[in-house]
Amino acid sequence: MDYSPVWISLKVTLAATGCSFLLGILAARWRMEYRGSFGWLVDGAIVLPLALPPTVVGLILLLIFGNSSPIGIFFSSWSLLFTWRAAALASFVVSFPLMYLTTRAAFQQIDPILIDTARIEGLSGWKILWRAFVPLAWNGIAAGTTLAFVRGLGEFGATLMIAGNIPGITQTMPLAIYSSVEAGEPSAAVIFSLVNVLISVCALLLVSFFEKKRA
Amino acid sequence: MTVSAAISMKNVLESLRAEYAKSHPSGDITFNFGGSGALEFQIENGAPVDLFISASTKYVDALERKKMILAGSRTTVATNQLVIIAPEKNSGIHSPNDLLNRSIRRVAVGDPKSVPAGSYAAEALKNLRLFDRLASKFIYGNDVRQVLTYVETSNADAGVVYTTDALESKNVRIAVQLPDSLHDPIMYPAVIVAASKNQAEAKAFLEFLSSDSARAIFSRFGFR
Repeated sequence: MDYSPVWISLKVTLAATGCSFLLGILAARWRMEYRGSFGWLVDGAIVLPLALPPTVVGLILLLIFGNSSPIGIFFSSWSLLFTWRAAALASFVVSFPLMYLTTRAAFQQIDPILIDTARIEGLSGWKILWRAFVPLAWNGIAAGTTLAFVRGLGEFGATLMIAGNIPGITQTMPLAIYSSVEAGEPSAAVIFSLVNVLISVCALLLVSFFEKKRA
Repeated sequence: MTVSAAISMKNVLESLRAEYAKSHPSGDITFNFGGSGALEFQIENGAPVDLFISASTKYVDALERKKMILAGSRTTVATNQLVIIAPEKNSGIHSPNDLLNRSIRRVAVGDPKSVPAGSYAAEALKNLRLFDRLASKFIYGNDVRQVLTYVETSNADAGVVYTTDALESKNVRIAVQLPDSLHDPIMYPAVIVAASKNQAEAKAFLEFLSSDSARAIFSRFGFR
């Protein structure tokens, strides 16, 4: 049996979760400050991939990054379609809302006085973020990261659309499960399903272990 | 070279690639398997695909209209047939009319609106004047694999699938072979993508697919 889907899944999901982690914190922080009238629009756009069927997300990504759109032409030298980076993009787009929403909710729980104190002491915006917001909201951030990781690991529909289902290159575990079921080889599907569940459970246990350690 | 192909051809194409490698050791073929509609949409949006093998003429027609395929490359590589299947233990279906029997409570078919095998099945059953009389027995699958699973697990007493699907499952038996004359021909067209940078390689593989040794492998998997 070819175990490449396990390694491809881990590479893709870790890259996507890394991006979700950094951008999720930055976006949530920005949203705390933003008082303009278009906040709902930003929130709507970010959360949209949660509301839409993943296949539709894949279609939209294909239209954006395909060579028939201006953005796609701009990226064409980068040749994104059918690469592991495309799989990571799909995984990122569907898991980012979970990171963003959880982190934002955690930031909103922080006592504003603590942030004001940091500001009065003259800390820069970056320092306030990394020294005050992030440590104070750490449990929420960890939960958001785990949710993003688990969702990204199971991503199927959008990945199939923009990354293709190419064994050894873009075939993640969910794609391998689909392929083996369709080919009438359910045993491989069962193995990859178990590995998928196992990795997800390990991620959850790891986070609760660190939470206990901090407490 | 990348070949985008209907997922229903996964097993046969993997065997064909192994056979092809014997005579073309330098040829490196990567498969991208999925639903034919999604594969067509990927090609339309510039995915780096050299050869496209579709489970339906519809998607190849769409690419042809958009002038995205290499002129003259269109080839029918295989055809398929419809069969009525039943769970292994179950018997009593010897002709399509037996589906009307009271012991047959559920008949699984692909959704005629979205599943090609389902629309062929509906066409055949309409020509047999059975479609309306069986209407209350139908359960619709989202793809052929789902229809096969319904019958394998005895959740349906009979189903209509392609010969190739029936042969892949050990848990169903073919009860009736439906004559080709009852429906439009079930064809698998292959085309070289106009934007392909490996057209010579794609052409060589396409020619191989029509060779005698390839035909033997196709028929081993139930294609014709």
